Amino acid sequence: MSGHVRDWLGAYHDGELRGDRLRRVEAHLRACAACRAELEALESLSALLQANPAMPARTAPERFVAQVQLRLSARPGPSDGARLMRAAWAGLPLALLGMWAFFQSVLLVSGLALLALPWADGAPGIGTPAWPVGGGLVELFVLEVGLTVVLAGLLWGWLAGWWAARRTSVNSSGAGAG
Amino acid sequence: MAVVDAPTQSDEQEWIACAQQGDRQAFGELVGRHRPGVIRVVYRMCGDPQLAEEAAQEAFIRAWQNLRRYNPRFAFRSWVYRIALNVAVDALRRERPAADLAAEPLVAGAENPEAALERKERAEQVRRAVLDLPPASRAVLILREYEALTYQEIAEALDIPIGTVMSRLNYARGQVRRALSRYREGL
Repeated sequence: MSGHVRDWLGAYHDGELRGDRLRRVEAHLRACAACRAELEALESLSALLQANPAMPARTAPERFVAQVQLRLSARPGPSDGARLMRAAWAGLPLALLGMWAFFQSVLLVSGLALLALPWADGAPGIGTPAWPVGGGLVELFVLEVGLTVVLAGLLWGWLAGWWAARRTSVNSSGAGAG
Repeated sequence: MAVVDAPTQSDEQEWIACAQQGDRQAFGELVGRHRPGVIRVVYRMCGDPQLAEEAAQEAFIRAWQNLRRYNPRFAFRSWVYRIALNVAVDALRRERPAADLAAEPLVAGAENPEAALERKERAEQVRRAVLDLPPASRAVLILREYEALTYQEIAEALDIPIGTVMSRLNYARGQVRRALSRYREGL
């Protein structure tokens, strides 16, 4: 007898085979005593496992439920979306500081480049720059101040939001305790 | 005599929705419904009745903490069993020894002592054979043999492909058969 179906006997025993595979296993079992014996052994094993006693009850169901309820936090934890939002909110100050540092370095490099350009371009005498350095530096300074003000505003907004959320949370837990 | 209707699937969905909004009473209903299965799974996984009850409680607390992350596309039972299995594995990692079944009383009072002893020894051999399996295969065997989950439900509970469920189940059954063949003919 060739083409035993031992790999599929477990699934057959569990009622998990369908269609063509099921028909092939059934046809094979009708013809193959070895696979039939294997199937019987699987059935004996299942019977033996299921006859094994379950755990003796230690705590009454009502008591078990009450014990679990006593250990629960006030509310279930947040959903995945809420967790993500919370992480983004917590990371916002760092992101703002990172943006500020990035713009500062860009502006610094730009300022230095502006100062260096007159001497690099045809090398006129020191003290007589051919490039309108002053105007560019003023624009950079205005840009730097503007960005710093915007980022500082956002940071203060975040701090105000954090403080308001903390106050709400303290008040609600105080009310819960009372 | 008053007939109390058994909870239906829609009751369960309602309890889940209420519990997700923080309703502990509704969560209590879910705990009451799934407590026997969760305790069975954890007990079969770790083999220690005391540890099983503690771990089952811990599993329900973790379920509460993560309830808003539950995906209703999957069966709640599979989801809770998954948490319970993880809790059981964590508990086993803490290296608490499994209780010896010899410490358990003989249950059937009317049974003759010889038969009771034989039954107890057989139970211990089976328990030992299951506990000796690697946790991944043991979990699949427990969910199939004791909880009668389908392969699809086991795959969802353990987050593994159905092919892996089949191969782990074949492996687990083979190992348990080998371990028990010394004591039982026909395995």
